[in-house]
Amino acid sequence: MKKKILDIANRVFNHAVDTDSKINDFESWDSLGQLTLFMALESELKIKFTHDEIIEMSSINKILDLLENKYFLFKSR
Amino acid sequence: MNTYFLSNTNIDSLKYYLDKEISFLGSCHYGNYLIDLIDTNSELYQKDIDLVILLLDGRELENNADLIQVFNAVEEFLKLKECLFLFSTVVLRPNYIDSLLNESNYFEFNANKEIIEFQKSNKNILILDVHKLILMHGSIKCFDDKFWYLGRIRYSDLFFRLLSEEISKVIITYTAASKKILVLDLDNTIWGGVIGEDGDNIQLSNEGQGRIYTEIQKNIRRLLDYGVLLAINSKNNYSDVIKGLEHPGSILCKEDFVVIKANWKRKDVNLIEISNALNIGLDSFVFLDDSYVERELIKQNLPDVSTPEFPEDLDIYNEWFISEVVNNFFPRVTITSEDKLKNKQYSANNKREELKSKNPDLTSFLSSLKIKINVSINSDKNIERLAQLSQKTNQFNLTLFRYNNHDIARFVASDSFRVYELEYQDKFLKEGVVGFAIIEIKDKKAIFNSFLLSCRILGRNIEDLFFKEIYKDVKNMDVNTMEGIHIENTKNLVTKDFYIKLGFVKISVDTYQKNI
Repeated sequence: MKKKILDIANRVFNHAVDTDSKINDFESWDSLGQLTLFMALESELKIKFTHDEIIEMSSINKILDLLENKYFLFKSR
Repeated sequence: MNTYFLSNTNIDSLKYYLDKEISFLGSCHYGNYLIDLIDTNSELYQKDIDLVILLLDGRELENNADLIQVFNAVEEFLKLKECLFLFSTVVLRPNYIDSLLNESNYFEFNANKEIIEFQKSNKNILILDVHKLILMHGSIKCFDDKFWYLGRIRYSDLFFRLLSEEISKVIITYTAASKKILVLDLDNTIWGGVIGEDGDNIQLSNEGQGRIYTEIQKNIRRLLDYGVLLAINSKNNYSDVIKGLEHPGSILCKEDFVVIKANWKRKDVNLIEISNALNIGLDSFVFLDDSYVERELIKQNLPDVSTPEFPEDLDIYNEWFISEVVNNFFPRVTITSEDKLKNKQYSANNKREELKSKNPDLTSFLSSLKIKINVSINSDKNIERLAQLSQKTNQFNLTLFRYNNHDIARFVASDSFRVYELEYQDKFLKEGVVGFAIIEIKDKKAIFNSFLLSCRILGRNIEDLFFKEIYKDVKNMDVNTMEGIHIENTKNLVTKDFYIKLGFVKISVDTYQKNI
C-alpha cells in the first residue's frame, strides 16, 4: 500500500514524494494539490473520505495511518 | 503551448493532468473569467499566450450569466489578442424525472446551439466538446459533488483525465496535416460480396448486414464535405463497378470519385497512377481494403501510403471507420466552404492520360507471402465445394460450364476425365479449396473442360503455378497435345490471354493448342 500511495502522490504532484512529505513541502502540494491528491486517491482506492479527513490528512504518514487504522489497508502490503 | 484557463468553477486541478505540450500558464481567479476577459489590464492580456481555454459549467451558467455577454467579451478579446480560443459546450446533470420536459434541458440545448453558432463566426475559436465527453462517459462518473463543496471543483479525477486528453486531441487535430484522398477497394469494403460474381445480390441495403455497408457508404460520403477526395482501386471489370455504384442501395455514386481504377492491374501500380494523375503525393493517400494481401502489398511497396488494418468483426466496421480512419487521417475541427468544392476541382483537372509508372517488385512481394499450393487429383473429398465454385465463379472461369455435385462426382469417377483440385495457403491464412480444373483425355489430347479460380486469390500468379502442376501430370500420360477452350463473356475478361501466356497457339475463335 505504501508504494501505491507514493506512486499516486508522485503522479499527481509530478514531484518526488516520500513518507515524510507533507503539504507545502513543495509548490505543487498546496491546498489545491491536497484536494487533487484526494480526488485521485478516492478514484484509485475506491474509498470515500470525509471532508475532515481530506483537510486533516496533510502528510503521507497521516494518510498511511488513516488507511491502516480505518480501512485495514496495511502499509506493508 | 502557453495556455491560460478561464472558467466559472475551479478547474485549476487540470494542471496536474495536462500533457507536457500544454503548459498551464495561469487561470482566472475563481468566478472572475468575465472580468479577466474584459479588463485589458488583467493577466490574460499581459502574458504571452498561445491558447485560451474557456470551460463553462452549465449549472453555474444557468444561474448567473448571459451567454451573449460572454460572446461579446470573447470577441473583443480576440480583436486585441492573437491566439487560439477553445470554447466549451455545456452540460447539466440529467437527474430530473421529467428530464426532457424540464426547462433546464431547453437551456442546455439552446446554449450549445448558440455556442456552436458563435464558433463559426471566428476562425480562431474551436469547440471543446465537454457535452460529448460527458455523454460518452456518463455524468455520474464525471461530476463529483464532494470536491464541489470542498473547493468548487466540479469534476472527478476521471473527468480531468478525459478533459486533458480531449484538449490534446483538439490541438493535435488543429495543427496536424490531414491526408487528402481516400482510395477504396469495393468488394467487401463498400458492399458485401463480389460484384463480378453476385451482381445485384451484393449486400447493400437497409436489411441485416447490408445495413453495415449502407452506413459505411454514408460515413465515407460525409468525407466529401471535409474536402477529402475519394477514388476507387478495385480488381474488377469497369462495367461491373458502375453496376455496383448504380445499385439501388448505393449511397456513393460514380460522380463522387475523382478517379475510378477498375481493372486487373496490381493495386500499387494503380495507386501510383492515381497519385500522378492528381499530382498528390502518396503520403497524402489512405488506402482501405478488406484483403490483407492487398494491404501487405501496399505496405511493402508503397510505405508512404497509410494503409489501416481492417476490422475482423464487421459489427464494429462503422465505429472503427470513424475512430481509426476519419479521426486519425482526416481529422477536422473546422470545415471551410472551399473544402466542399475541392472534389469538383480535382475531377476537372484529372484527365485520363496514360501514365508511365515504376513497377515495384511484385515477385519479391509474392515470395514474401510464402504461398503454397497443393493439387490433388480425382479426390472425392470436396465435391460440394467444387460444385459451389463451378456455380459461383464468373471472373476467372475459362469455360463457364456449370456443374452440380452429381456432375462433379461423375467426372471424378470417370476414366476419361481428370479433376484437379487446388488448395491454397500463405503465411497469413489457409484458404482451403480455391479452384479446380477438369481435363478430358480424348484421341491423345488433353482438353481443358474447366479451369477456374476463386476471385479471392487472383493477381498472385496462382493460375501459372496451378497450370504447371497440371502440365506435369499430363506429360506422364499418353497424349501429345493440350487443348484449351475459352468461352468469352463480359465477366471473364481477366482470362482473355491466359492460354497465350502459357505458350498455346490459337487455332479457332475459342480453341487453343499446345504441343507436349
